[in-house]
Amino acid sequence: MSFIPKPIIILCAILFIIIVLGPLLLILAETFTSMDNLAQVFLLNSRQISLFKNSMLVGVSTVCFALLLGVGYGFLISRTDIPLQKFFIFSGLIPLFMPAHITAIGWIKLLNICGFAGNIFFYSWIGVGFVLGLAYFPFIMLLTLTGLNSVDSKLEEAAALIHSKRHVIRKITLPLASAYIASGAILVFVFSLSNYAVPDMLRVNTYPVEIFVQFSAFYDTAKAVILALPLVAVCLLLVFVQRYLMANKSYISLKARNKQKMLFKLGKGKIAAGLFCALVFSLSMGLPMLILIIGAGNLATYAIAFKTAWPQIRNSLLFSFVSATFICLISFPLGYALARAGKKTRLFIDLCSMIPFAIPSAIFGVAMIRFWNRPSTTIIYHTFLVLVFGYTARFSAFAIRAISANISQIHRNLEESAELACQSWSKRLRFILLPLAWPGILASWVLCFALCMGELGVTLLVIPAGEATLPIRIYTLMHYGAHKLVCGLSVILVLIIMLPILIVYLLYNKYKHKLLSNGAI
Amino acid sequence: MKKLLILLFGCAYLFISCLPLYAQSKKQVVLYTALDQIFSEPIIQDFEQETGIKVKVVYDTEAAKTTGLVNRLIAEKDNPNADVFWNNEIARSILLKDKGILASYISAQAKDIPSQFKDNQGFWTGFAARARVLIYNKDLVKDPELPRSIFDLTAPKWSKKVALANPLFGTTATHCAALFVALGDEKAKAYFQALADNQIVMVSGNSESRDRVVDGELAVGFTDTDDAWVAISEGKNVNMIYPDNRGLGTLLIPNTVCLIKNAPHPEQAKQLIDYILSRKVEEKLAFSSSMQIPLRKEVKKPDYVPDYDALSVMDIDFETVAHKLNQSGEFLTGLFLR
Amino acid sequence: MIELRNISKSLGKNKILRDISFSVKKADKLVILGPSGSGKTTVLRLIAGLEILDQGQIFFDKKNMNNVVPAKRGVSMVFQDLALWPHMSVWENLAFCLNKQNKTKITEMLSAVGLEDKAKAYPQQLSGGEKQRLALARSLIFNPKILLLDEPLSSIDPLLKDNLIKLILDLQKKMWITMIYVTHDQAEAAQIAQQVILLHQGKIEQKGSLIEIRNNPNNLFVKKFMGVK
Repeated sequence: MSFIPKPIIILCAILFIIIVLGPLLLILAETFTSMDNLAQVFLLNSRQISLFKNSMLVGVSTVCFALLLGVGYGFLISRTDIPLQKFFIFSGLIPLFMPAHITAIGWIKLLNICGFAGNIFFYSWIGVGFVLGLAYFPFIMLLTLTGLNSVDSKLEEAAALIHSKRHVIRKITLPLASAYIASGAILVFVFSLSNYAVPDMLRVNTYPVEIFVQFSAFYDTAKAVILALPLVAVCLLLVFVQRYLMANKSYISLKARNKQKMLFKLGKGKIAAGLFCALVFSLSMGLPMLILIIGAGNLATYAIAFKTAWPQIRNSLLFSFVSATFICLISFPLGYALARAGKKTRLFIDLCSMIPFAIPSAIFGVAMIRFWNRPSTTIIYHTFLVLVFGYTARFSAFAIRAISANISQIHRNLEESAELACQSWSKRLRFILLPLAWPGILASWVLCFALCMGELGVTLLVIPAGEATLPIRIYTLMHYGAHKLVCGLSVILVLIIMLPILIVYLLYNKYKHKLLSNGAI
Repeated sequence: MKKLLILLFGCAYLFISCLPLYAQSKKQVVLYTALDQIFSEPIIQDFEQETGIKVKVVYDTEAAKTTGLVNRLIAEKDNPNADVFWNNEIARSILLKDKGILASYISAQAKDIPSQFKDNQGFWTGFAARARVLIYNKDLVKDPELPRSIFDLTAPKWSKKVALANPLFGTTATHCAALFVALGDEKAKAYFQALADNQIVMVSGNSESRDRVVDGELAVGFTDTDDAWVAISEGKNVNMIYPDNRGLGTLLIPNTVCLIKNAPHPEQAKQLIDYILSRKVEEKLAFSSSMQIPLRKEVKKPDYVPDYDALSVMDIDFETVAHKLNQSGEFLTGLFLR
Repeated sequence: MIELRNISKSLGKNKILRDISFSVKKADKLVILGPSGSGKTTVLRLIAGLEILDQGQIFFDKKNMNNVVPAKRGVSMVFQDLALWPHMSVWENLAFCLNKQNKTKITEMLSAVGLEDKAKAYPQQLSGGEKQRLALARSLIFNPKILLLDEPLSSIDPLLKDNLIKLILDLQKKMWITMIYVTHDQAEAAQIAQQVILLHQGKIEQKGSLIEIRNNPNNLFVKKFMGVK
């Protein structure tokens, strides 16, 4: 623990509690003190049951689609001789960074073009599961990759002496990786439960949709908050399931990494596998983007879009840059503590950092207003700091988890030997921990930057008067029917989000050999 | 490392000390507006030029997609930041009045606005209105069979051919509540039940209602004049009807402007409200592509914008309508959104 | 120089060490011998301050070390898996351990362990024996008073072992360092030191020289472990 001094960890924990949990606890307290008919809300009427049923169906169907796509995709790109492997690794990650509402715009237009508007089959939990599955399969893919990498190749080789490779994969490799895949499935389940945009678009009534209705049709904050509680409860329950699954599983895959992994020759299946990955790519990312690009028309649209929306683009860049940096600054010590601390601290951070996943953005927004809009914190509420805090509240959980996963792969001995040799913690931090942990920090930064760029729900409620961001601009234009401009700005937003990812990807490819040789990754 | 820390703290200090500059300027007023930015922005810029007062604006996005400014105003009640709320409709302004968020201000500019469209205590003042209309596709619906009344739409020939936006949100919600008030609960419920039985198509918003009719998927759609006019002015093969010109009347939904209680800049706020309520603004909104209908005579307007006098306007009390919103909303949720 | 008084340590419900006491004189050598899981490594980690004591006291030069952070104890340790920093070259691995860049000192240390021509290489590019030398060099370069070695030669082939043991002993003598060496291998123990502590299930079974222990085993376990018939 002494790699980052306790005071710094405690400071970050306090910041986390104030920024992330403070607003939520406040609004919860306000809800319970203001409501006198609590029982009425909790009463199990047919509507509640149908809400619960819909939410669960959406969750389950999303997980099924995501598993179907993610496990296959992850296996193909890590353990086979699939063509265009590098491209598919990259393209498989992209849906992680796409703002949900942008893909939703693309999908609505796509459905309308294909004549599926209002189609009963698609406008149901199946359709929602399909679209969300396409958006969330990268989580499953990533965890499948980690799981597959963590399998000791000796175990596979031992089995391969007796059985065919196909049999080995089915009986040894996948079962050994299954805990990772299951924990990915849990994440996807939670995300799909709290997603608003897609169920709303396909008109399936889930908890987030109902919460939204309570907010904007009935202006009943208390009821909306109460309705979010089942989501939080499910979410917290799943933390324990996940911990049970991952107990005794170290994330450490250092040993397996350097060794040759067992590869599966596809032979004639090569083309089919390539087509599968290409299909997943085009459905998850390609088609919606294509629709937007076609919708935007010629280059003149982009010129107009840039000219008219430059202040918003600049704001979005600034806010996202500052927010992503701030999130990484406080998430690094917390991620470190999550990876290294004792059981109780770990459970606490684990639970705290899961809650934000389950809270719909509108509740976050109102909670942020209630918490920060007071005379003593004018400096925060009236400046873009409130956005920085809002984004931190929503997204720091991602960063904490990514950084902690990365740090838990660094062997403790490396820290301890430095601890004996060097008195200055800052020197140890700079020369040992940071160089070893930077891939996780960088990945978190890029992810948070992308998420902040696309954030709409909280931004809309707390943005200081006189400012606007790019997603807000896109949505204000949408009503008016400025179809071309909406498409053009959406494309610009996606490009801005893709830029840092592309840079990181290119840098990674350029320096991969150096990095691999000195073992930094 | 110590140097680095000092540098870091130095930067943080500078950054924080600069923030108040960013937050405040001399003469300013904070406006929350739900009217589309594309229409409100030019008017606000004119005001800034004429008075030299800086207007800081928060725009709302499409009503059905966001929780919007009303929730923000409610949440900010204890420590208001906004001075003026310019609502593009009326029901939520009344809701804000009920929640004790508005202050009373009777603008001299509002003298000749019909009393149906303003609060006699001055908590809200209406101007430039939109009408609830039916948009129809000219290929699919020929002149003789045009629905002249919204009650025609329960006929079997319109089965699965009519679009209605989500009745919980926006002007559609107001329209439904208005029907509950005008017809009485029983008749209104029967009417909506008939629409549901006739398999009316639920869409997400008034603009989608319009788009589905423009695309020829549906024949007729409930929508607002501004949404319909966007398509008509672009030369799309659609037109609109002001329904029930004889009988119940067409529902007009005015913009409303309100002063926020404990507004931080009350003087500038009143100046801004006076400006927004001026004839100039009604005129500009009439000429804009949102074709808002002026509520006062002698405001210049293009020919395609109907005369207020020529319309048969649904005669209802907006406060009653606003108080009906929850009840009608709950009924319609059960009926249309299972 | 080093004195442990009634040390106990448990992890959860497992008692790892019970009531351990021993001392080592300055510049002396001690071998802790024992089967795997006997708590040998934990003794070293407690001395280094990497774990916190449950009970007992640790003294260096009669000073109580219980609450001193690892970096200020003047202890260095060679880990079983060596824990070489993979992102640093051989030179950087050594340089990190010094407060000020001291080129001559690093060069001297490199030649002392015979790695002069590998300064720019990264740990992954070294052979097993070279890694071992680097780990040793790294643990000695900041002039520690105490050197702890945790089965450093467990993964080295027998031919190289003798060489390395000689190197370790040479350097220990030259630098006047107190050394504690942990192993499960009697042959290795015999080469390192006279003084041996035999550890089993967290308890000291017997202290003394290897020959004494072999000749007069205290109990059945000692007898079995030492292979006495």
